[in-house]
Amino acid sequence: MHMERLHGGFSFIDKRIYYNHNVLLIMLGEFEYLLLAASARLGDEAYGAAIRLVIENATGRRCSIGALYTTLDRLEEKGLIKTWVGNATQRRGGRSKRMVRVTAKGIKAAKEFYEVVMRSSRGVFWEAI
Amino acid sequence: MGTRFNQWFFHKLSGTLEPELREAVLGDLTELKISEERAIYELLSLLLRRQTKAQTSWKPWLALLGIVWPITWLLTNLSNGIASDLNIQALAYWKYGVFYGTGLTGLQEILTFVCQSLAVIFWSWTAGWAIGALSEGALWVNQTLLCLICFFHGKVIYLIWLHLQAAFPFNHFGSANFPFYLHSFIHTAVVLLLVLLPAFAGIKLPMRRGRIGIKLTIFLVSAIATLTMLVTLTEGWQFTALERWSMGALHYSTPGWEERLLPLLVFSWPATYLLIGTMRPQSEAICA
Repeated sequence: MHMERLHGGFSFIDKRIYYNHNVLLIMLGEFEYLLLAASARLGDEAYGAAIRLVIENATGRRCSIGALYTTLDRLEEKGLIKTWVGNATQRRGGRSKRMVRVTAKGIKAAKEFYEVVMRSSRGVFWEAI
Repeated sequence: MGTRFNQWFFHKLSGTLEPELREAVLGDLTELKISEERAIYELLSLLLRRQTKAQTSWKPWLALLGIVWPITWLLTNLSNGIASDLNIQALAYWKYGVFYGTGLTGLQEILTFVCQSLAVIFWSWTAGWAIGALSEGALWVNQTLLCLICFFHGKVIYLIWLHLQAAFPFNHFGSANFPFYLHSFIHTAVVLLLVLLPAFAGIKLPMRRGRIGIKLTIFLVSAIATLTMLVTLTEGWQFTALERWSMGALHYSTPGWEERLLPLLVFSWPATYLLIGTMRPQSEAICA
C-alpha cells in the first residue's frame, strides 16, 4: 500500500486523512496548493517574487516573504518541489533568485488536492446558500 | 535618524539568514519595491516562522537544556573561582607588595592556575561546538542565552553598571575604589577569555567546516581527559593546603578523587558527543 504523509499549510483540512481506493492520502494545505499552482503556471520563470505576485493577484490577499519561504522549505522537504539558485538581475540589485520547479510528486499531490476539492464541491451552489 | 536605524536593523536581521536565502529574500524585496518598514516586518515574520519551526526539533532543546544552561553556568562558576584567586593575588601584591599565601608552593599555584584555565578553555570550546552542531535554526537563541548567562553570572555586566570604567582599572590606581574596579576587570577578562571566546570559536566551527577531522578530535578528547585528571589532582592540593595554611584551624575532610572527578565529568559530555559524531559514518554525521 502506498502511504504518503503530507503535512503543513494553513488550512484546517491539511492534516485530515482521506481514504481513496486503499490509498492513504493526507491533503496539502491550501497555501501549499496555491504555491504549487503558481509555480506550475510560471514554469521556468518560477521564483520567489514572481510566485508571490501570482498568488497575490489570484487571491487578492497579501502574501508575505515569511509565509512564502517557509512553505517553499516545507514543500522541498516533502519532495514536492525542487529549488536552486538562479541568475542575478539588475532589477533585483544584482542578487540571485531562488528558482522553483514542481516535481512529479508535487504534480501528483496538487492534482489529488484539486480533484478532492472538485469532488467535494460537486452539486454545491454557493450562490444559492 | 529613523531611516538609518531601520537600515541598520534590516541589515542585522538579514545577516541572520543563510547566505543563499538572504540573497533570494533581499533580491525579492528589491524587485517588489517593498518599503523599508514593510521589509523589516516581512523579514521578522520570516525569522519568527523559521525559529518556530526550528524549535519543533529535539536537538536545539538538547543544546539548551543540556549545555547552554547547565554547562555554561558551571563553567562561568569555575571562571569566577579562577578570577577570585587571581584577584586576591593582585590585590595582595598591590597593597603589600607580596603574593597572598594560600599554602600552595609557587609551582603548585602556577600549575593549578594553568590546568584549571586550560580545562575551562577546552570544556568551553567543546561545549560551543556541540551547541553549534545541535542548535540548527535555533542557534541565535542559544547563542544569546549563552552570552546572557556569561554576562550576568560571570559579572561581565559590571562593565555596564560601572559605565565602562571597570574596563580601565589602572586609571584609578591610587583611588580607594581601585580594588573594586580591579575585581570587575579581572572577572570580565577571565570569563571572556576562558569561556565566551572559546565557546564562540567552537560554535562557528560546525558552520564553517561541518565535520572535525579524526586527528583533531583525538587531540581534543585526550587533552580534555588529561586536563580533567589534572584538575582533579590540583583540587586535592588546594584542600590540603588550606588545612596546612590555617594550621589545622580549618579542617575539611578532603573529598576523595572520585568525589572531585565526578562533577567534572559533566563538562566532558560535549567531548563525548564530538567523539561519537566523528566516529560515525559521513552519511550519519551529527553535523552534516
